[in-house]
Amino acid sequence: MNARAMFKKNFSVIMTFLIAIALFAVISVMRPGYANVNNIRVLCITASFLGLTAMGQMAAILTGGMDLSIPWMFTIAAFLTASLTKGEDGRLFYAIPVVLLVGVLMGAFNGFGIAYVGIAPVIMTMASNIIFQGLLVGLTGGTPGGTAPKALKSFANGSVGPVSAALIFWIIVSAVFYILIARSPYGRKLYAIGNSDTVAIFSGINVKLTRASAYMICGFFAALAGILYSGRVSQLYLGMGDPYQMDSVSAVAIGGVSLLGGSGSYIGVIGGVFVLVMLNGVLTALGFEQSVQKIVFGVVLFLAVLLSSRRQKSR
Amino acid sequence: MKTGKRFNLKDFLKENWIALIPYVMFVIMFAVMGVLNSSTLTLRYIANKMDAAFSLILCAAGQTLVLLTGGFDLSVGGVICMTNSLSASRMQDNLGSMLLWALICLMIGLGIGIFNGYVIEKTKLQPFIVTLAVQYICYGAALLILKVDGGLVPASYISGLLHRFGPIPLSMILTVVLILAWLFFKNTKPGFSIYAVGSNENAARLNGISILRTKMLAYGLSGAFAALAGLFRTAQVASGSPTAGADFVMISISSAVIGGTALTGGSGGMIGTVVGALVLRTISDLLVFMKVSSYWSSLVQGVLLILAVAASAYGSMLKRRGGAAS
Repeated sequence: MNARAMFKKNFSVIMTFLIAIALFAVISVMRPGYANVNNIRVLCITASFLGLTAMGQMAAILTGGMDLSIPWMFTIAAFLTASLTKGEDGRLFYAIPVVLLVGVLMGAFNGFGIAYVGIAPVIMTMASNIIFQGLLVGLTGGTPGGTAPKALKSFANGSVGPVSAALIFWIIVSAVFYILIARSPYGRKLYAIGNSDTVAIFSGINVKLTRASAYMICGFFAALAGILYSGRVSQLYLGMGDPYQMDSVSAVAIGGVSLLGGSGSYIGVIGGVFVLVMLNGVLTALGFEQSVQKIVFGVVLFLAVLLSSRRQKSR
Repeated sequence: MKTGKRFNLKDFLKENWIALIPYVMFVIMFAVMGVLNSSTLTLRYIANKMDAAFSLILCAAGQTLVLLTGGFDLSVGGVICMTNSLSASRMQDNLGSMLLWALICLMIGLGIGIFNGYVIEKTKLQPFIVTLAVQYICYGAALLILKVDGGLVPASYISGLLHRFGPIPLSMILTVVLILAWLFFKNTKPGFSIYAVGSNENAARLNGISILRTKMLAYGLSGAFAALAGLFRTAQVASGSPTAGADFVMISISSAVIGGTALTGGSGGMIGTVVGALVLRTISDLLVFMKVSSYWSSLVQGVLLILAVAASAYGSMLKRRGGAAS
């Protein structure tokens, strides 16, 4: 493949990154001195959390579904980390696997309802989102508490040289996820069932199990992001996962992944994550309130979905 | 093939037991509540409950129309936030101003709904993603209108909408009107089109039904009903909130599904939805009477939704099998 064909094939992905860079340029021009090491580090940390949740969301969306239960899987993971470790570093070695397992189990609950019972993904995950909320709030009597251990805090906020540790962590996890999605037989199965259940069945794929596993992956990444986030904030609060419901879907859609399932690349999603984070930065730098940010994010999601459906039609 | 027209209770129950679930649930719930707390069977409690449930009834009624076409409307929450904030913060205590703002709110809801329907049909995007984006835009707009919970609601607006005719609240009369209107609407051409589009879009198109117009009607009405729900909430809570509408999204879908409307479209109706909404609004009281902490109520609501959807999927599977056998 020559360079030109390569460019043409990945046009949308390249555009996504260009938009992100352009947005960054806009911030730097509007707010001279904004583009310093410290602010870039904060942007990268924000991008890392969104990126981790977007990975799981992408797995669910590739199968033609969606996971709206990320917020409370994320929040449960954060509180569970705090309560299992009781703020002590030494307990992390068993707390992290347990929390990740809980994340996978919550995802399995979604996957079971969607793949085996046949409930529409949006409805199932919307319901499970408030079920998880009810579980956390009910079990803790409405006031969960606790803090994350110091090691986690220094990891989530710390940096290696000039680069934030969270970003490096995201890059490493991304590499693994990229291989899983784009280079492994499992990844091909995910794309296959997103394109057509029938074809996938005749290709000998266990469609139900594969579909359920996508939600387990989503639960895993939501829990991973939640664990890390518990170290990022000084105090845990209910509702800390809420922004990730919409933002993870937006990042995936902006990244050029079809919401009908079966097409799109993870590299594009990374671009989508940066577009959203930069956009947020621009709106904050311009001094806009939360209300305007929400409106702009809604419009952007809408346009991204509209564009990706045009692209599919023209193919 | 069924030949005999004679009514057979056993056959009737066998075919329709799933559709009867919400009604049975409703009766059992009220019975249990009556046993646990005798004050619940008074007219006053029922009137209060009716007022508390009426916003949801309105919102779920609109949602039902959209579900019947085979779509979702996630933007109802946003519309409720907007109209609730707008009416709570802008209305003056005179009839002209109240009517004006009520009309503006209604137009906003209708406009957003028609936009949803138009975009969904024209672009062929999935309904939930379009309405999700629109919902987000509405949340932002609501925050522009009213920054924090509050506002000053005219006293006559509150007393007008919460008026009691003897023991009977206005909301109960309006619910009966809604059901009567629905029974009429169901048999009109637009009502029939909504069912037809939901059961088989291609067949509907071939029969000369305009899919675009039908969807714009269903989503438009859903938006208008959501606006009415927001307006009623203003009176019922006596304040506005730019965020309170978010709760209505899932619970309005739940009400319809518990009431027997299929998520696949084309079957169900508004009477079941009204019962479903009443079930969902009284369930938190039931939990309180059973001495269960109210923190668990969102869990119960989620579980109920999943069970209702699973039951409806199971029911349609049974029907398909029955159809194949006969």
